[in-house]
Amino acid sequence: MKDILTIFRKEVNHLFKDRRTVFNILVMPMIIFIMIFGLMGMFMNSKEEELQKTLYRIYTNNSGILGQILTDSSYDTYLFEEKDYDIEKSLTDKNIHAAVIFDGNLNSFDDYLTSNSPSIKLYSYSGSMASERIASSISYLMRESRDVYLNKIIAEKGIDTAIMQKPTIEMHNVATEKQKNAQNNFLIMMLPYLLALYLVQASFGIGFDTTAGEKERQTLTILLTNQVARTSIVWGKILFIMLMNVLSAVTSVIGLTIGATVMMGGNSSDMLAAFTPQTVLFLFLVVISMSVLIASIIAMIGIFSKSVKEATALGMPLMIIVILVGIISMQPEAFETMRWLLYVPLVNGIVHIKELFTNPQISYMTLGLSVIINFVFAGIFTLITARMFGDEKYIFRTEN
Amino acid sequence: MITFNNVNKTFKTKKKTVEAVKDLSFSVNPGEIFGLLGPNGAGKTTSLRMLSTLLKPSSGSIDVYGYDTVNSSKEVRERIGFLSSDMNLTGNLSPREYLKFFGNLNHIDEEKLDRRIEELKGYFEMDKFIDRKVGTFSTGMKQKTLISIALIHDPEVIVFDEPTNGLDIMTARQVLDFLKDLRKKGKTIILSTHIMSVAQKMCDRIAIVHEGRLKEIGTLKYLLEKTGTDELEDAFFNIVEVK
Repeated sequence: MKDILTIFRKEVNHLFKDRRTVFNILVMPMIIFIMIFGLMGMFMNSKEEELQKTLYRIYTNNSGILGQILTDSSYDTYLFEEKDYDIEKSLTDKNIHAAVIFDGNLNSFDDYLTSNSPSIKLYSYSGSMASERIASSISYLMRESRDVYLNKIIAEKGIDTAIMQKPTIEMHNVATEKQKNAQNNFLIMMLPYLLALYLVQASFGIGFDTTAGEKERQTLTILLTNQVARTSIVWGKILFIMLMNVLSAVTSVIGLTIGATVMMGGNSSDMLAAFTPQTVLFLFLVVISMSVLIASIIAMIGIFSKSVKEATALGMPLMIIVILVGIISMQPEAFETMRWLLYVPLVNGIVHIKELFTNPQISYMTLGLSVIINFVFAGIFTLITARMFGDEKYIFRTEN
Repeated sequence: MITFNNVNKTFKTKKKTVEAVKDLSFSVNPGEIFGLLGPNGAGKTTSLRMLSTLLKPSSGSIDVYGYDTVNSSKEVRERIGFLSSDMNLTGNLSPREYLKFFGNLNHIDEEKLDRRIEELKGYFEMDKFIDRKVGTFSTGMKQKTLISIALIHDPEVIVFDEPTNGLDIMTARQVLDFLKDLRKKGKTIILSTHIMSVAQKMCDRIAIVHEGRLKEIGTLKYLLEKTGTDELEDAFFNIVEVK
């Protein structure tokens, strides 16, 4: 154990002396998330401001009726009529924001409600946010006008206008608060994906550098001619990779939370409320088991490979699996019919992280079993790596 | 005593089989500087890698003070300090940090380790760079650091593969003087070289290897007398039958 810690400390010391690498691995993901969400927030805010200030140009063949409908509009509008106007071209050229054509040349909006055939055509262009916005507003205001008309008719017939609000429908969502919280919070839905992704991502840099990189740079031989046991070297390196995986994943999640809540004005209280002490404890267990497993796979690939380049290529399927399963995990009903995934090493971690936040009937027995499966596979991969460390076929398999 | 007993080493790849070492047998006496002399590809590095437990013989055995390099590799590594020309140091740690790290792996107590570091620092005049990052070092500075690492646990046997490769004459001289000092302290030194002058000046006995085989072994005087030559270089070419 002492030798394992000596190797581990040396690796940590070596890494933390390289400020640029520490910055890239631990600080950069945080900054990137904050920047992405910051820019998104800025773009959305300025776009909204622009949409509010826009003077919407609307072509129509009956500005009288349309003007009536738009009386209560919160947007500034400019209505105009013109003969032989090319609506489609004007919309795609963004010369106008919408067009409303009243068929049949009736006198008022109410006539269109009582008449059978004539319709109202509403043109918009989905390539323009402003066009979409004003079209949706016109559509809403027309429905509002229809409801006013209906209320008037009902009242004239001596019927209580409350009928318009009936039947009273009470919505009952039987999901638990925990589930509702998770389903409504995209941060929680993304958490399994992000944790798994960053657990693997850090390994690709640091894990392959400390294994395949050392072979490539010919710095491993010095260690192997020392009296330290091969298994101690392997465990020391795996512990180091694991620590960096966890640190990278944690800083990324912190970055995402800050970015999404502070920069985009999201609600972090929902996210924080999901982290009960029990959830945190089990999340910790699952993440540690995944991290050990990933570190052992990375160490095995790294020692087998001739160079960091080869190791990265060989490790790519692992990254692809994590990305695929991670993306699937963002669907609310993902994995419900694929319970066997709970027994697949690594993938089971992603499934359990999701279930910790969404499933009120999560089986802690299965969770424990998954953690054990991950540790057992990590142990097997570590033994294979230790054997490779003692085998000249792999240790001297270099490009030099 | 170090003994090579009919050692063979074969490397097999999908395309070919290379016999790097063929039926190599010799002994090295305690306290002597023993040289393995041969051209590139003679099997010197492979032999020393087997001695240092990095490679396993395909057949035969190597004993180091009674310990077999395959069955008692840890005990062998405790007793040897190995330096090879293909070793390297990179990155952000300083020689002091590396020496501490390898000292800790050798379970040397802190006080003794600090004394040993000071000793090596003084000998190799490392004062100016012992706390600098090795990533910025010249070949000579790296070689001094690597030698210090190999010797940190004060091993009984020192195995140096081409120790003066790439060094300037000042540093090379310093390294060779250090090896002579180690012999005075009773250490057993095995060094491989293809530089005749190094073998001639340094070695008590020389083994000439060529194409994986031991061609001749003996003192410088014996090799010169046997070949009827005045220089080791002439004796070498005479023995390996290259005109």
